Formats: sequence, structure tokens, C-alpha cells
Amino acid sequence: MLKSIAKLLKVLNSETDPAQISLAFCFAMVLGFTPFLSLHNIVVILLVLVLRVNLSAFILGFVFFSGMAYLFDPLFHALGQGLLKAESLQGLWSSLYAGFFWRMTRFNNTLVMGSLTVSIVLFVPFLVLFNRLILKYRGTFLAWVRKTRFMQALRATRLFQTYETLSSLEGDG
Amino acid sequence: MKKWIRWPGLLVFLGVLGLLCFLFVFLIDGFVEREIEKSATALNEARVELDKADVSLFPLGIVLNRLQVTDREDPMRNIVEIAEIRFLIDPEKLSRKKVLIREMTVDKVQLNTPRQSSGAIRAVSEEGASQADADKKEKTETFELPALELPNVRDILEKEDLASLKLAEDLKKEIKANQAKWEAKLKELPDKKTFESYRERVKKLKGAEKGGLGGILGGAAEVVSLQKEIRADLNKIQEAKDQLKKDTETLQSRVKDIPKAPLEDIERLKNKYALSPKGLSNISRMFFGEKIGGWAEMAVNTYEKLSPYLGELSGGEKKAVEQKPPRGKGVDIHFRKQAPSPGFHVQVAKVSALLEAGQFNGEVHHLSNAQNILGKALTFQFSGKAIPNVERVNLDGEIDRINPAQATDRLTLHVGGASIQNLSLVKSDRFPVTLKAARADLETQAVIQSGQLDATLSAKLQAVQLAAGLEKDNPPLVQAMADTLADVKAFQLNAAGKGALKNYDLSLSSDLDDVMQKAVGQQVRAQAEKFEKALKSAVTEKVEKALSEVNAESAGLDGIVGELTGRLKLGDGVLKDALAKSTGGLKLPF
Repeated sequence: MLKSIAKLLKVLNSETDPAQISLAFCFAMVLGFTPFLSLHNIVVILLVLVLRVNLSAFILGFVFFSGMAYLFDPLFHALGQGLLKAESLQGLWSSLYAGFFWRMTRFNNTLVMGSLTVSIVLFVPFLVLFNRLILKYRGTFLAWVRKTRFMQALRATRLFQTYETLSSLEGDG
Repeated sequence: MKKWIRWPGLLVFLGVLGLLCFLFVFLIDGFVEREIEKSATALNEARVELDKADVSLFPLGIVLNRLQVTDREDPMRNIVEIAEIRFLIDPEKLSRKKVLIREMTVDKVQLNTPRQSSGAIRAVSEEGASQADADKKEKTETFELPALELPNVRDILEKEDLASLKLAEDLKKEIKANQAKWEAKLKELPDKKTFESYRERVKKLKGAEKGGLGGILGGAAEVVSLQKEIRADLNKIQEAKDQLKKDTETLQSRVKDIPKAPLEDIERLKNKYALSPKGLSNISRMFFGEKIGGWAEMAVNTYEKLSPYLGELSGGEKKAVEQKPPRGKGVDIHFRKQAPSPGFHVQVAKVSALLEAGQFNGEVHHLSNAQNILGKALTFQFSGKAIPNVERVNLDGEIDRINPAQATDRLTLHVGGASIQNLSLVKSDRFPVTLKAARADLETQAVIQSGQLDATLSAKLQAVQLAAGLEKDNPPLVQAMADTLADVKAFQLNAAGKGALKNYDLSLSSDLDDVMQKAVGQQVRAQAEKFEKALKSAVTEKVEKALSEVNAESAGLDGIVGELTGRLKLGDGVLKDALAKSTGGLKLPF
């Protein structure tokens, strides 16, 4: 875990494209929010592996969003139930339910429906938001953060030493 | 573009996916085997074991090897053991969490097979097991053959307690106790001595008359007091006498009942030991009752054990109750389908069974867990194949629980051309009967509705050879019965079981009853009359002896009555003297 956090810090501070990091966070959000054993998550994992998104950011994001999913579980269930029971959508759901493929996606599960809807709705806004935050962090906060007493103290910690080691290794490489 | 694509990632993905598929294929058999064992054991409340489960994915199917279902009431036996079950599952229905099996093959079904280890998942209560055994025994041992020889009356009276004799003995004891009580009471009552003392006092008062006026006045007061004392004593004796009379009358009336009591004893002993013509009228029950009762009991037990697996008796699929789901699980919402279907449905199961009688092949249609949703009843047809000594056996039936409140189960069994040999009908030492040979056609129909059984059996037996295994020098009646049975060449047997499934009444009749009555009815009647006469004479003799002892004892009470009467007479005499003194005997001077 320390290594992952250190790697994340390194990535944030490096020249890596911010979109690769924010896309990793967004895919992590989908995987973290929705039940792991769902058909769409195979697609998410395939995209994470094939697209050059940052894996450290993805792993950390997955841990973070899984925790958040536990908190938001009742909200996802209520939203999913609301959508699945909405009178106007019954025709759509019934036709999907008649198809073997769509039943395999478990779309009729309240939690899958609620969490996936939230993930899809938040995907693009979060992508833009994370992008801006990373740029802001790099442009404004990085120099300031480095000078803070907290960062000075942090430099003395094992975490930072790990980060340094990794940085030098990367540099050597 | 190259900046955004990571081709090695695709290889990693495919590698991981391949590994997962390999693990799934490798582990799925064990997983399915454990799941079937676990859920079936929970349902059966006794161990259900599988030797092996083999899952195929394309097409989706399962082969189960050696399924053993423990009998929860006898954990060292399997209620059913199946060598192999093969079936394909409809994947489209499975995606809706429904199991639809269009065709299932069930090979080598065996019932009631022994187990190597106990299949109990909890201790079977010994009390419960012994009660079940006792119930079974009670049902199968109720058919007894009556006596066929004239019993020895002396032997019977030696081992039997006579109620009339006991009545006489009890009465004798009671009279004795009464006598002792009254003898003790006699001592407390005024006796001859008391009345003599009164007489003395009367005499003294007569003497006092000559003592002048003062003596006359004092004497009058004493006379009045004396009269009161005598009257009080006489009252005591009279009350005692009245009470004794009542007691005696009660006892006497009971003594009078004693001679009637032997009649009940005679009737009871006659019914117990004598073969009555009425007993002969249901000889078929004696011959076939135990066998048919045992078969019926076995069939009912098997039905009760299998019934829960054949379809819901009430309820069917329950309506889902809306409740808060556990975290991370959610709730599956089911949408309107073209046609609702049960959770489990086997359209056709082709079954081969190896039973004690031989091999049976057949088909079971529409085995499901919710007939009310499916709208089809479970039906089955089986026929015997190469069954020794039987030309044809057909078993078919219907388990209809489409409307659980009106569940009706039907079964029909036809057995044709069954060759029966050496079937022991009566195992009694006195009159063992064996059906040496016969050719039988039988038809059984049973309907169970709301726990009520209505079953009939009709059997036609031809080329009959009945034999009573008697030794030489038999009583005439026994020999006559044996000869009659030997002459029987054909008969019809009918049985009916009606009533609650757990406590049905079994009735049997056959034309053997008439044959037997015609042949030996007269002899039986004569024998019964002879026995009754001997019994009457022996019992009466015994009771009369006891009655004379009772009468002797009651004479003692009469003596006490006489004693009390004597005392009353004496007291009356003394009182008269005293009265004569106070009225006529004593002359006042004024």
C-alpha cells in the first residue's frame, strides 16, 4: 500500500498525462461502486488494461471507491429500485429482461442498476474534474506543498523515502 | 494513438480470463457436488451423498453418480439410491434462476438399501424409534386365529380370574368386617345387665311406697327419671337395630346378584376360547390380514416419505416479501414474462428401478416444485420388465397439487398372471396355512385426498392349492377345515382401506368366508355349544361354593339382629314394670 501511495505521488508529480490518471480514477469509480461480479466490469478491466491509464491510480481509486460504495449502498439500492419500478420504463426493462444477454448483465438487480447509473452519470464530470484538479495541483500547489512544514516532516518519513527510492530507480532506468 | 493503447494489457487480460475459465472448469464439479449434498441434506434432514458430479458447459448438463438419500428414521439405510442421473439444463431459463430439465435419465433406482455408515445429522430419539416399531407391530399383529379345538375348561378356569368369584370373595370379606363392627358396637349398647339393674331399681321403688308420704313423693320423681333412662337406652338399641337392618338388606341384595355374575364370565370365556360361527365368517381376514396389512403399511410409509418431494401440499411458490437487502447484494426485480414457470421443472424423467420384485422401467412427467404455477400435475407410468413369476405389472398414477387445498394423489397397480408359490398365510402352530400355488390377477386403486385414504384391492386367484400343515390325529373340526381348504380351487379376495392416512381401517372379504362357513359352520356351532355347557357347569359350581360361604357369613349378622331384638324385649319389660308402678301400681293417699 505504501508503495502504491508513493507511486501515486510520483505520478501526480511527474509529467504523466493528467487524463491517464483521471481516466484511471473514473474506471476505478465504476469498478468500486458496482458489484464486482457483474458483466460490465469485465469490459472495465479490459479497458483499464488495454488503454494506457495509470494502474496505480486505478488500484488506489478502486480501494477508495469500494469504501464509498459501502456508504452509498442504500442510496444505490433506492435509486436502482426507483428506476426498475418506474412505470414509464417497464416496457424497456421487460424487453431487456426477455433477452438472455441483458439478464446476464444483472441489470434487474437494484444495486447494479443504481450504482452503474451513478457511475455512468458521474463518469464524464469526474473525468473533467479530476483532470483540472491534477493540473491545478501541479501548477499551484506542488511548489507550495514542497515548502510546507508538513512536507518537510514527510520527507523524513519512510513513505517519502520509498517514494525517493522509486523516483531514483525510475530515473536510473 | 499509440500513446493511448497498451497492447500487452490485452494479452494480460486474455491470460487472466483464460486462467479463470480453466479454474472454473476445474472446480465446478466439486462445487456442484458439494452444493447438491448440502442443500439436499438440509431438505432431507439426513445425509444425502453423491459419489461424483460431472458438469458439462456445452451443452449445459450434469451427470450425478451414485446418489444416496439417507432414511432419516433409519440412518443406516438409504430411502433411495440411484446409480446415475443425467440431464441437460435449459441455459436460457437458468439465467432467470429457473431450472428447466427437458429430459432426465435416472438409472438403477433402488429403495431401502443398506449404508456403510450412519447418515444421521442429528441423534434419532430411541423413544421415537421404539414407538414407531410398536405402532408397526400393532398394525401387523392384530390378526389372530381363534381356537380350533375344544379347550379344556379346567385349564381355562385355572388360569383365568372369574369376576363372579371375586365378587363373592369381596362380599364375604365385607360381611365379615360388618360383623366385627357390629359385635364391637353390641358391647357399647345397653345389655341384659343394664336392664337387670333397672329392674332392681324398680323393685326398690316399690318397697319405698310403704315408707309414708315422704317416701311416696320421692319415689315418684325417681320413677320418672328411671323411665327416661330406660327409654333412652331402648332408643339407642332401636337405632342400632335399624342401621344394622339397612346394612344387612344392602348386603343381601348384593348376595342375590352373585348368581347372575357367572353369566358374564361364561360369555367372556366363551368369546375368548371358543371358535364361533361368527369368527369363521371372516376367515379371509385371518388368512390375508397380516400380509395385506403389512403391504398397505409399507405403501403408506413409502408414500409419506416421498410425498414432500412430489409437490407442494400447500402454498406453492411464496410471494416475495419486500425487505431491506443485505449490503452489497441488492434485490433482483423480476419483470413480466411470457409465461410464468416454476423454479424447478423436469418435463420427462426416464427412470429404471431395481426393486425387490424385479426391474421396473417408466417415465415421470412434470416433476416440479410448484404445480400451481406450472398448471400440470405430476404423472408417472411404470411397467415391470422380466419380473420373475409375473406376466405383467403396470403402475401408474398422478400427484395433483395444482390446487394445493384440493391436492389429490391417485395410484393404480395392475398385476397380471402372477404365479404365487409357497406363500405362508398363517404361521400359527395350531393351524398353519400355506398358499402352495396360485395364479393371481390383481388390481389396486388408491386415492389420497386431504390426508384421507380410499383404497381398494381386488384379487382373483385361480389354480389355487391351499394347504394346512397339520400332523396326524387332529380334532374333527380342524381336519374338516383343512379338507375344505384343500378343495378350494379359486377364490376372489377384496380389500379396502379407508380413513385417515395415519389411522385407516382395513377390511377384507372373500368367497372363502362362505365356503368355510358352509363346510364347517355346523360343526363349529355344535362345538361352541358343548364348550358353553361345560364352562357354565364349571363356573357355576365354583361360584356356588363361594356363595354358600357368603350365606354362612351373613347368618352371623342375623345373630346380631336377634341379640338386639332380645335386648329390646327385655328393656320393654322393665319399662312396663316402671310404668305400672307410676300409674296403676302406686296408690296415692289423696
